[in-house]
Amino acid sequence: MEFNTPEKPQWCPGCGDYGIHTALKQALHEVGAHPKDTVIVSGIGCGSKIPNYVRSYGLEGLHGRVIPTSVGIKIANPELTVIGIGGDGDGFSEGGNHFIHGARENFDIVYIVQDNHIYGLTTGQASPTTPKGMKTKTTPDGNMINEFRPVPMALVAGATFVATAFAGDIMHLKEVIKEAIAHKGFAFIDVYQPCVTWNKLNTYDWYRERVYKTTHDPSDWNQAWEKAWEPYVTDFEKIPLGVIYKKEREIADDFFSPGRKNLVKEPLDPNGIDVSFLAKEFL
Amino acid sequence: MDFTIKVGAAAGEGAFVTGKVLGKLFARGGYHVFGYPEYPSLIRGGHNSYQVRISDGTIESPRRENNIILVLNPDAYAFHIETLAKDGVIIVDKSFAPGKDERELALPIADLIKEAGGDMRMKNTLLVGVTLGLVGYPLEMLEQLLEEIFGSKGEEVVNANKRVARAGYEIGKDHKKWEIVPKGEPKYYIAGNEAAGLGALSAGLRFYSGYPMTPASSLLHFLISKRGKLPLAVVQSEDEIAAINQAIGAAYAGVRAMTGSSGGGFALMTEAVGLAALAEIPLVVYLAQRTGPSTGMPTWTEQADLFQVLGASQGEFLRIVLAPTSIPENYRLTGEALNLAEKYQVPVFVLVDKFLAESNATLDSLPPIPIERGPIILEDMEELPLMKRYPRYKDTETGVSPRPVPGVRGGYHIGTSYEHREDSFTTEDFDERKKQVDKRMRKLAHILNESYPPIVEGNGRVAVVAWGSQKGPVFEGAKKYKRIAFNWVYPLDKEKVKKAFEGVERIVVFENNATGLFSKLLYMETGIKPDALVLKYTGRQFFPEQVEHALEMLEEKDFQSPDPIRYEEDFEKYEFYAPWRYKVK
Repeated sequence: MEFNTPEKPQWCPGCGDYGIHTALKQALHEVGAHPKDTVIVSGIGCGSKIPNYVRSYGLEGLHGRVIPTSVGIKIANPELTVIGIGGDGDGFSEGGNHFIHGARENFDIVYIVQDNHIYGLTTGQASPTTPKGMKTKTTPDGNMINEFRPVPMALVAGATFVATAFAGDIMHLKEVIKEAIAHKGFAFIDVYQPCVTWNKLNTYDWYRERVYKTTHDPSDWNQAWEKAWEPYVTDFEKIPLGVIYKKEREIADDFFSPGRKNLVKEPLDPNGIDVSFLAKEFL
Repeated sequence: MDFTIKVGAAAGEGAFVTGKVLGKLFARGGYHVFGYPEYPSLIRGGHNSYQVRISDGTIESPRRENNIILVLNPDAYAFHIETLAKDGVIIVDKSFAPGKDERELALPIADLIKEAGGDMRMKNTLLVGVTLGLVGYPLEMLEQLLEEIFGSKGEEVVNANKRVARAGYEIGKDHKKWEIVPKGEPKYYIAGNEAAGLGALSAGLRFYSGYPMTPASSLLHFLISKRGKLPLAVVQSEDEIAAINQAIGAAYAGVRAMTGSSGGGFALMTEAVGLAALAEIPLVVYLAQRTGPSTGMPTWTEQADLFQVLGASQGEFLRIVLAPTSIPENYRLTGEALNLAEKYQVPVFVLVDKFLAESNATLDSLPPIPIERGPIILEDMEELPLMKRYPRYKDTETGVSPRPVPGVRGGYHIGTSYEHREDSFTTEDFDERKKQVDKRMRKLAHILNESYPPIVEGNGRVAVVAWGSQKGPVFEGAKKYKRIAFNWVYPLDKEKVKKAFEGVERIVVFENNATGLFSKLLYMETGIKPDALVLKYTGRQFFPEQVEHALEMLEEKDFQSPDPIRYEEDFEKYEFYAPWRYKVK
């Protein structure tokens, strides 16, 4: 496939990142994306190594900064398919501010979170989505802190596409990614992902017993809201997968870049631009 | 000719508008004008002032003495009367005029406005009218400007303002003392940040992102006002970290991108500077310094963030630091910064300060800035075989490698914050690591080759040195001596710098900070050591009169002083005004 790289990813055997990697490449292929027009933007973390393993353009930036980096690329060149991808520590802890405002402003990007409820690359510390009670290196007696709730948060902040998926169901995840790519606006996918090394609670089996494909109407806010809360009100007995909410509205890209041109293609005169027409107010 | 008018008022009373109107009128008449605002970090209350200095020749600094002072309240009178020239005029409302000084022109402002059929909002119009009358400058020019300013508010507002202006003008004419008449082609009257914005746009800026912070905010405002008039995206980001990462994203995508802030906001951006450096993504950071550390004095000036910029981000990498020495230069160098960033694929800083960013000066023209993009690849290349990436970080002779951007066929690679191989894939191979460091560092020789030599004026055994914004006041106060100014601050080319200092026996450096940061850098980079340092870190820039005074003091010591000369009481007599000496009612 055109997105394959000679190097094979080196995640732990059984890591959920493999499923996300496969689904992402497959989704890009199926929507007909060309490597030249595809940019995979990541932060720092195990899963954030993914741009190395997709043969396209990419930017492996800073921990927590996936969204602003993606936004800059997409505004400069709206013709690109820009996929931001990073972990739960990256996106919800270090990058929490960008998550809230990215959703609020409704930038036209896809944002996938590899949500394994733990810090993997830094060897097993608690993350914002670490369940209450779980023992980690930084919560040796069990986590006392409430978990961050990405899906309700995305809804409240104003995301126009909010979905959940499971790294163990590649076919479904792929379809969700395809739908996110087709969406105009901030498309957030919270991907439940086992970490076989550091998270002994949220295993593949644990998820398989709890997840189900939701069939509600994602354009209905009330139904979406109910589904967003379902894992928390059922004590994680029922975890819906699929598009939770979807409703298009105006995107920030149009506001910050009037006319939303491909700014890369706008010609630049090597002699410089005569700006006197912009300076009449100073005469 | 060297004529100065100052407006003093409570914040919100319109000192800046009045001052800017005067500045613009004289700029339209072909004069060189320097406009200098001062204000506290408050929206209402506190004291604002604006000085307009008018001259036949280039001026790059305010001065202490004023020929005309317009005061809008009693505090303003108390603050500024000391700076009035012996033959000056202070225009003051009769209701609070002390009446003890023969230089007072006390006016029943409310009555005059009423008689002319205006309202008290036109107080500033009246005072401008009086001022123009005092110097015999054509009233028609003010009338024309009033039409432009108030035209959208309807004919009645325009006419009322015109009547009030005329009433003021007649009084001024009765007391006419000077003769200033239009003498040439109109000039642009532009603030430092606006000049930077225009320069950047001339050089093809397509993306700017920022978060409000004084004194960089007005660049954000200016660029937003130009959105839609040319291909340009401007983002008000959720924080400075977002701002710089957005700019890096845009630059990676292939447009000329810049972000800006002051020191506090830039502290948040620091980590991303290293990303731009390692991924070799061209980035320009516009940093307008203010008085620090921390929140400091937000609306005052200082040159104390130099080492913050030099040390920003972990690891070793090349960066370029420019410090424009005047407002016209801020136009040119902010544009040039975009060229340097793309030619060398390194972070470039434009380091200014509140004094330069928010003062106004005149420019004859805005010559387009030629655009040099370096080895960017914008056209499709041959398709790469499957499983192959483009060698984005190819080890080249200059250290700069061709840079295809997303959208270009055959250029697939990643920009990455990890050390990488030539084909951009992450590596921890020692040989590859060393090769990439050497490649990036190899750019230095080429950057130095292009670096600007110091600006040199005059001759003699004593060299008086300034960097960045302080060139204006320092050069004006040091006319008797050889003068050297640095607008290219880092990296310094030893040979070019040594050449500038040829024949010099004594070196005096003036800096707007407490520890002589640039002098340290100069010594580190070139071995040149000043014989005396003059430091001012009150929150104000130097005044030419202070520079002159300090040099007189130093002359007695043959320009040698083991301890820096600091701002002391005897400097204060050369200050603008000292509001902290008075109780504000």
